[in-house]
Amino acid sequence: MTNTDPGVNWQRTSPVAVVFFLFNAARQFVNNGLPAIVVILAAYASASDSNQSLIQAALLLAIIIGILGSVLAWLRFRFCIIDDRILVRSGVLHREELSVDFKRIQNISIREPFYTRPFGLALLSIDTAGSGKKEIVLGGIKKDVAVSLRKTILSKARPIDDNAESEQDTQADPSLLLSRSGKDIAIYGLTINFIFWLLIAIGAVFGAYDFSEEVFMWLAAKIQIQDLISFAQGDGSLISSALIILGLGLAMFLLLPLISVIGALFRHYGYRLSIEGETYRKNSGLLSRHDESLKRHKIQAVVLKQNFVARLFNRTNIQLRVASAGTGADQGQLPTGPKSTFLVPALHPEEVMDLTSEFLPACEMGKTKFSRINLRRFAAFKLGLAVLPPVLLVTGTLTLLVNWKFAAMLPLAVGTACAAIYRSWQKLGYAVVGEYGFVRYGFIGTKTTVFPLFKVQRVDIRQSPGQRRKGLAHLNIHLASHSLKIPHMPVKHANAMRDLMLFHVESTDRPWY
Amino acid sequence: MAFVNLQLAIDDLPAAAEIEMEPMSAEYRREVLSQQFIIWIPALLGSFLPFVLAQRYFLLAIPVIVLLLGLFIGSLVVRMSGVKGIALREHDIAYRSGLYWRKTVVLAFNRVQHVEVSSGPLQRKFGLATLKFFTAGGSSVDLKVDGLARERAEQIRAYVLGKSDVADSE
Repeated sequence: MTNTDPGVNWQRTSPVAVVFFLFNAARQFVNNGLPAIVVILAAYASASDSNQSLIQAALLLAIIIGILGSVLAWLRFRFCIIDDRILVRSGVLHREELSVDFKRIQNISIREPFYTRPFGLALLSIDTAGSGKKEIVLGGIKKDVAVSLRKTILSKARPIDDNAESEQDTQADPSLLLSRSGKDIAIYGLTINFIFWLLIAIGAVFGAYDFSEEVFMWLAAKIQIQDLISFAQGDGSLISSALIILGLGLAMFLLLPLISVIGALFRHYGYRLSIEGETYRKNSGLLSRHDESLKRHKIQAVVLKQNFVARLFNRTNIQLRVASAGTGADQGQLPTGPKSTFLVPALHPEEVMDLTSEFLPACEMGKTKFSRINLRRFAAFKLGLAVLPPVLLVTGTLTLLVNWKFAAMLPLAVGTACAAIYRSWQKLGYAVVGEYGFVRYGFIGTKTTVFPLFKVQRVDIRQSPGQRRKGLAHLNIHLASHSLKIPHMPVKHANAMRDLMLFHVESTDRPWY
Repeated sequence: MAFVNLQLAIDDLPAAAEIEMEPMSAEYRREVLSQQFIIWIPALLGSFLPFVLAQRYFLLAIPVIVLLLGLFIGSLVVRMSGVKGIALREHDIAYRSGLYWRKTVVLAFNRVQHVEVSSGPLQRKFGLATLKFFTAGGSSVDLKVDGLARERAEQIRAYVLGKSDVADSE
């Protein structure tokens, strides 16, 4: 397998890529082994001198193995380009050969991290959703090579059958659509982790947000704190550790927004969105410049997100979603992640309108009037299945085992839940305007998905016996990027939406990818 | 209301809710039935074991419970196989399932990425096959149709393949 086939010109990336592999390995290690690291740190703090040196030796060994592994990974990593496909061979223990057709490539981005910048090198990430969850990263190739490679791949990405479109492609004249100031990015930073503060403040989750990212960060932060606490407990009294916990709680409350602002500035400072023919390009970053591009026809859905903080500033964040393999969105797994979304941050209301109709031609966002679902059924299901069982269990046990006065919690909890359910019902809506479908979810803020009807992949309608009597149904719309569920809607509307979507899908030969 | 605006046009569209569903192959019911026998007969025999070992009469309650459970679940599964239906239209395929919680999936041929026909040992015995359709955006099977006669499955696959440039595998 190591033999190079005749006529195939296998290339290696620059040796600087070793650093990239090392970073990757370290990140994986931290991601997978966070609890283990905490335990080791705690053990280290409490260990005797001889044991400490043992742990140090083990750490040194791990670092050496990491470096050796990275060098091997770099040696094994080779790529070549034949005609319209890119071949990659990689893997130290588990060897892999990947061949990706340019047509299947969803997204290409060029990054210049601080460690490759001095060498004039860049990382080229190729997102190949649709053919298994694979991302190819060429870590450490010359920047001009990366740029020209991207150009070749994008030009061959799909043989464009539309003449008008290809003409536009050739005239490739980049024009700026949007640029964001440091202030805008700071506002974006404040908006991203709102849920995070809420989690700490209330400790409860309610609504229809995409929490996973925040929850992950929250967990990470929590583990770090535990580590600090165990450190504090090791050294002394209860009071000092209590003070530390209190101080940390306060600091988190003030620090977290600051951290997310700083993070956003690092990632998105100097944000510029431009269009070149049919290709959007986004350029941002303080130290590492990120350069991502996306063809307009790859957009599967546009998601407009406005949470509570964003509402205070009257800003909206837009995500452009592309096809992703194995999103498992309906199973509530981790979201597609930043790689398969293309971010347009902190937009003013009029910019939202302009850009939405830019991304989705002839989409009339302003004319949307959302229809609502059946409140009674929605509330009954939410109360009966999501609220009452845990509430009854908790108040029941507390009342029976601790104090009967806890029974007063029941109406309070149910009342709050009812208010919250009513609120999320108010926000839940669907609409069809022209060739586009709209689905909105929300609690305090809103998350609206706009999708071209002809890009729908599959439609399901589900009906329980009760719903059949009431003329209601659940409608599931599966997009290549994610799935949307409209519960308890009138079956008449569900059928009409299904027929309309099928009509748009089946009456056109326009490729959806 | 924007939605009503479209109502006129929608009334003229072909309605997926009015598709006539074609039931599964007659052999399918027999296959499901024998599957249930294969599961429940050994379970029933096994449930006599406590009685045989301990020789206490009240232990005979276990086989009775297993028998009732088997009859209940078996009849449910067989009835479920009876309500399944499939329909082909010019541009899409519809599949209905579910005894109480009814589900209808409609899949347009030009969104099908990949079609698969498979059949297990029991299915082969009854000349049946499972047809699976895959679309983008999900790692799992998007539409799985059990209980089609082997030739019918092949026929549908050929039909779908003829409608779109999709990959197929067996």
